[in-house]
Amino acid sequence: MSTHVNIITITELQDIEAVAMKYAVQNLGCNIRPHKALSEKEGLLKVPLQAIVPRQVTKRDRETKVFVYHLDNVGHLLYEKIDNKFEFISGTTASAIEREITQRFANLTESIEKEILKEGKANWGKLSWIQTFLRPLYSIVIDLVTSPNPISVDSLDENEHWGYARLLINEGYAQLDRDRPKQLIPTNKLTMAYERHYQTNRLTHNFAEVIVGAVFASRYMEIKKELHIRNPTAYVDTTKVYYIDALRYGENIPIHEDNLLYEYLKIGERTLRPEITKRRFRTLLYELESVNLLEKKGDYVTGKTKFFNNLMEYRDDILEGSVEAPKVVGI
Amino acid sequence: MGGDSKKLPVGKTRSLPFKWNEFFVSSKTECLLACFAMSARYWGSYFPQLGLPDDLEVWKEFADRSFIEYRGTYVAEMLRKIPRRVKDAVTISPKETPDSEDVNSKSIEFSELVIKVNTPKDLNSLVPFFQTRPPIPQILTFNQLLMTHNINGPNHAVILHSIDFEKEKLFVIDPTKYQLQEPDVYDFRLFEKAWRDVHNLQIITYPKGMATLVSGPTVGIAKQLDLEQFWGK
Repeated sequence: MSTHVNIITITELQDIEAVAMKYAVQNLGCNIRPHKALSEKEGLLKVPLQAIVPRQVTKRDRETKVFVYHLDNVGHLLYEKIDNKFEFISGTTASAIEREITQRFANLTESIEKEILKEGKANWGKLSWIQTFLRPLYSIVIDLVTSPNPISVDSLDENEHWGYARLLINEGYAQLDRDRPKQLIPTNKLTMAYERHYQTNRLTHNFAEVIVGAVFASRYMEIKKELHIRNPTAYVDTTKVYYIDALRYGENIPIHEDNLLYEYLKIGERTLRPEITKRRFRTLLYELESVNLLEKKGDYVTGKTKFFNNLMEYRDDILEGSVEAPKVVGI
Repeated sequence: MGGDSKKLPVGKTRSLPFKWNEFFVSSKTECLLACFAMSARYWGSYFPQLGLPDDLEVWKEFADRSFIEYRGTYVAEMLRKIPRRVKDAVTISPKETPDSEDVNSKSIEFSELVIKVNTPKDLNSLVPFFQTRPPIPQILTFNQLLMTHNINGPNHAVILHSIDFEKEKLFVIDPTKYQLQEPDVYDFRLFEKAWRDVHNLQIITYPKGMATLVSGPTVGIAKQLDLEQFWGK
């Protein structure tokens, strides 16, 4: 086929919002929309950005409900007007907008997260990633209740375990000895809990699981944000994505594990490595089933009816700022 | 524009010569990716020298890639996530590699295919893209929920198949309607509202050198092209 150069002249929209929209679709995301520009100072225009985020929940590949969230002011673009043209000056980056949206969703689901942490309190300590990544916490608990000697803070410092000990102090399970400087001792709360536990179980390691579970439930954010231990958050996020979707839908529905995996990756800003991630995710689901937080039937996941019913009071929180729409698939 | 018939061209535009069995790529959720994949299939058939993969599966795989970001797909990221098999077949020139933070990237070159984002003033401005030889596929994005249910929703992307100015209908190729195998029909009035909501976004792809686009607020299209030539009159 012979080719020739075609010259096409088109008339484009010239307003600042159209210029910002072009920038957004090219660099930020198709779900990002410019709002009406505001005058900043001489010649400068600020375009606030809104995110239109659809969340889709499918019940066993049949009925689908779509909820569209409108999140205002997730970022902005700044332009300077020069000779009737708009020059880009600066703007919120794509990653910063993504973080902002993730945070907004985290805020909507904060109450659910707390309830999930509370529900799993007795069992978190039994889960493998918690046992692996919070291992020092188990050791400190066992040492506190079994060793006749206090634990030296210096030795905790040396092993970089002071952060774990601090969790126990904050939770009222350990304290610094008033008489001996820099020595960690158990509190009455811990000692009494151990005595009660030992009378019925006769096992020490089980006791550590109980205490670690309780610490994990109430000090979750410290573990995640201050100790920067992220792996165990996988359990909470997996449980959360199921119940959030089920609550959005309004029923304790079976949801395909692939759909949950997709949400799980989003909620935790996790990297997509399909095969490895899928295998690990399936293991997570089985573990969560073993501690009665979720149920797995084939490729589908359902929630625990009683727990789901308790969470229903938070449905309005989750749906805040959203509109339920008929199913229309978008970008 | 729908109600202002005096400004409308008369008749129907040329149709995009779209071979459904060869070019159609479906996607349940990633409509922009699917539209880009269809455009690439289209150009690949006209210009084998572009070196775009013939294998439909490659493009299906590309269009099935889910973007896990809440922000939705965007052009720069779309190019970054092109599958290796496609990347091997085409070269992204280092100079032209898109950068999401690059504020000056007005157009992005993908091997010999250029991707350009425009905001045409109205439906009339879409006509010239049917008049090139071959016509240039136009991806239109619009607020589909606003069009169908008057709800402010996310963007949806389709490829424009043809426009009938007499009947005030748009014919589009919708990647989510994989069983349809024929253009979906939109009413001007409803579409324009939904399109305007996203500032008339249009994304075009064309082989570098085939076309030169000039954007100007006042230059008339008719000056450049003989409009009657392609309207079957």
